[in-house]
Amino acid sequence: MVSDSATAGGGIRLATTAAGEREGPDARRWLQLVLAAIWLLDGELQYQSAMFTRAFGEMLAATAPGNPAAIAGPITWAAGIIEQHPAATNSGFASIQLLLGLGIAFRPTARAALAASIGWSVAVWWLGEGLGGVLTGSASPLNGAPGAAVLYALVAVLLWPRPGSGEPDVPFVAATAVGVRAARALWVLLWSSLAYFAIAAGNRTAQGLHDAVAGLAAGEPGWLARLNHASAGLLAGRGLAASIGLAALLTAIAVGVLLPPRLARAGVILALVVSVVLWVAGQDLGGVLAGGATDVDSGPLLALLALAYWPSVRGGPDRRELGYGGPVPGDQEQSGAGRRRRERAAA
Amino acid sequence: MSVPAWILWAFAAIMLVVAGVSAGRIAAGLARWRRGGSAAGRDVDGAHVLMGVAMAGMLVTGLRTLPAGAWEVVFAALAGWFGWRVLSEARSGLAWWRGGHYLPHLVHSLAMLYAFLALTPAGSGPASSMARMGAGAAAMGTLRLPTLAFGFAAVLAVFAIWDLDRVSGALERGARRAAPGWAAAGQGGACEATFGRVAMGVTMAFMLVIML
Repeated sequence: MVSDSATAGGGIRLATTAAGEREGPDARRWLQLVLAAIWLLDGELQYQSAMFTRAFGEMLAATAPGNPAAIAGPITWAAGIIEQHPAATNSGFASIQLLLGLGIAFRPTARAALAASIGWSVAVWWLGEGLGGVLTGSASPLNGAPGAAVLYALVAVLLWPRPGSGEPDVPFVAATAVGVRAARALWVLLWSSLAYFAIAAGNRTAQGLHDAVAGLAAGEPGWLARLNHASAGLLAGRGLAASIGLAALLTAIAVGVLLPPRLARAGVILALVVSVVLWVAGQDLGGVLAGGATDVDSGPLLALLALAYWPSVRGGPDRRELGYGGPVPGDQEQSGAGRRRRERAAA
Repeated sequence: MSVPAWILWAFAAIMLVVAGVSAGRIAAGLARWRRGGSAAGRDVDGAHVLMGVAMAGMLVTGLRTLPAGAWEVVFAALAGWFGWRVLSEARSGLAWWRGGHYLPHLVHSLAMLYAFLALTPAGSGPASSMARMGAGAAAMGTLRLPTLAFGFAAVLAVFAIWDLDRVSGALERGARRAAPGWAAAGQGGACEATFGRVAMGVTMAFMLVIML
């Protein structure tokens, strides 16, 4: 039996079961809620006054050069419309993103909002980010490659609600919707592409990373500007070595998901650390504190994605079938405690 | 150009609706209390009335009521009150993540206090020039300590999302178990208050972000 309770202050307490356990969100729902919160913040950032000017359309148009004509044409066309009608178009964009966040959080509309977020993200990735500079050679892990918008779509796909009730026996949440092999392939593709971008021609010059980080400081609060200057100082003249080091880290993260759970967990932790460092020191929190940022950039999305690959302690048999060999730390069914419990149950 | 006036008016209108509904809940609660019922929970409704009115005034010049100094005192008092309620909940083993619900109200009060304290003086911000132009919009400036503003906005967004998930979960369960009895048990009012809190959090985060 499930019971709800209205609280004195008008809030709603978490439901409890007869056994007294809380009926809270499962891991996938938690991650969906984080995605919803990011969408909500993005929507609010889009309401900033700078977005209601022609400059916003010009900023989008600047992503077109260097792309193939078939990609650049629609970007220029969309940017032209936005430049002509900045207030109307941006009001729509901001409201859509706000509603996506609220829609994902509201359970009856979660599925529809996630589906809409995939379409919206892909459209923004193309028309707003010029495919993240992937085809122009300007993509870098520091500037949000392969484009923050496409990461929203990827996360929404991996967190897609599974029909029916109950969680399948999978080694990590991201495998629930698309299966283990596809989820691993997507992880390897994403992180290895980031490794590639880290050592791409424009990023491995002696001053490439230094210039990218130093250029972020303008308009930022003092603490972040100081961090930028310090990071830029460390990278000055060491662009090639830093790029190779970063690429090696990103490659290690990419292959980590293929390793046994203990190493896979270390890989996910490394991914989380790299995401946070990139977001703070390389992306200046998406530039939100300097004003004029349309989103929080790729750092939080990469971290959210990493959490979706956190090796679960559930699903023992499947993990071994899928290449996770041997007993898993924390898996009590393989431990002495689990064995004793089974023996007691049998008795 | 700044944020279009109609957007600020829309958010201000939502805040006034939340304040109005909360005032109605206070009146209904008083009537129940006179008949010997409980008046518990009116502190939250009272806070929603005050926050709704204050935010509407921040968003739209024409809706200003009290001077900023008075609002600072109000929200400092509310923060103290809800801080005490959060401690009481924690002492009785009801932290926020275990179903306690006063923490979001504490954060809302602190965010409002910060917004009033950190707001740049009127006349120096872009919005006041908009007001001078007769755009009918806000007397909004920019906030000092933008890192704190963004931090508050992020936390408010998280609370709003969490509330919306919980209230929609409760609604789904209520619908499965014959809604009339569920509503009669007081869940309808609780949902109403939670939706009000979501609207409050979203609008507060919006306000902080556009003043970054």
